[in-house]
Amino acid sequence: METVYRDYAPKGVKFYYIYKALAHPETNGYITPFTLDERLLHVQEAERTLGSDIPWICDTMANDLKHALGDAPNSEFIIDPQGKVAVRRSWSKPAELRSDLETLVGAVDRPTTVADLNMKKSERPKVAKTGVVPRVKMPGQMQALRIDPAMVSLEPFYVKLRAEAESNVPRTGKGRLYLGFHLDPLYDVHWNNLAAPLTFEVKTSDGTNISPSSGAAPKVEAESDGDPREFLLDIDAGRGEDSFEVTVKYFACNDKEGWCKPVTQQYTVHLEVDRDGGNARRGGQPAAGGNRPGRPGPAGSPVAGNRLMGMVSSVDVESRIVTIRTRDGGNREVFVPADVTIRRDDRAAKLSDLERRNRIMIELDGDKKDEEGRPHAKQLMSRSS
Amino acid sequence: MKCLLLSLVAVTLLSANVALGQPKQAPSARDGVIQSFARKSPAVGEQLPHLNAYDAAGETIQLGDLKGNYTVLVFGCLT
Repeated sequence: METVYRDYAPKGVKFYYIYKALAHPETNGYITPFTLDERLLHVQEAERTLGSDIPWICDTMANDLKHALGDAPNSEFIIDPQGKVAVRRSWSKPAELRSDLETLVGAVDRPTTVADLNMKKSERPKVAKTGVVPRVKMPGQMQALRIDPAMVSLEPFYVKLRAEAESNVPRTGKGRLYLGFHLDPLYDVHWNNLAAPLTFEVKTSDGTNISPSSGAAPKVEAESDGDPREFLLDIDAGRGEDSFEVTVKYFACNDKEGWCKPVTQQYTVHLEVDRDGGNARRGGQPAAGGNRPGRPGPAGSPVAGNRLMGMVSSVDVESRIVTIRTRDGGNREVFVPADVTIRRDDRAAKLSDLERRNRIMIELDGDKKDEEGRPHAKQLMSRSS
Repeated sequence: MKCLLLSLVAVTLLSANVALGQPKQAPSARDGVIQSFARKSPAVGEQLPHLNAYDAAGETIQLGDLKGNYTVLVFGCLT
């Protein structure tokens, strides 16, 4: 990419990287930012660590660009001078990009080679030793859950929660949860192991059980370290809410700024897959696709013949995906093609008319499924009450 | 699956043509991303959507304002 940039920027071609949600949180210690300011700090980190002069555009915290431009982690586009897409590619391929630009703009006399580059990269120095506290062994394929940090003060989240669940949890409400509290390298903090270890407490609604509902990180002999504090829990959401609260208490230290202090912070964890949560890689234990939405439930969910019945849990109008809360408490996703007849309260309706908790019945289109395994709807009927 | 940064470092420092930026996930997952991209991303000839984004300084910019030159956009991140 850098060689293509060196050759074509002088010919008037503009280049931008678009900074998006992390594909693999935890890699090199980087974890999902909670605020735009933090994402912009990530952009600075990317500029420094890469050493490229190509400017960055930062996506919104709602990941609008990622969603609107195809939801791929490393895609590339060429936009023509009228602002229209001239080339799109799901995975960046510099050699093909060069070939495209040769066609659109013209070849260069002497293409820049990698050997010609002299990029100045710099790694972020480690604040504390890692590899001190053993990582937990994940029970299997996990998916990132959507979390809402409670922004109740100006205090940054020096430590950030990453919540994951076994892939069946968003569907059935039952299974194993992972709560990992990770130091954010942006803040140059480390654990203060001379103080009390990190503790957490989970608060659930009636009908939801999480065990254990509280815990403490192990006491560490080293005065400080930078390893995450991780916990595996069991959840049975039963008839309870689709979310729970987490309160975490810890001592953090910043040697550069010369402080050590106790911090208490809170989160709401939702039992739904965070489609922008990325896949954490933990020593050969990749979590399942946070980029991938939850898969449909297994056979045996409340499907009457070729019909699916329940309540609307969520509607993704852009992707035309309806998630139905079936009567057994599981969630099923259905892809609704644009030509499908939709009726609500016995009137013609659009997908955007559907609301959460509407009763819904979907007739499925045989065994037709999209590439993510979601069944296709053939007809959809809904009632508001 | 590697993200742009790792891709760029690899491509830059090792070889321009080696596809180290490509995902290491199972082919089916990658195929899913490719098919999903084909369905969701604007097609060739379509106008770039008018969406807000930010420059590196945090100033709001409009994606749809990228006109007047050929422009290359590449998605990436730190990981």
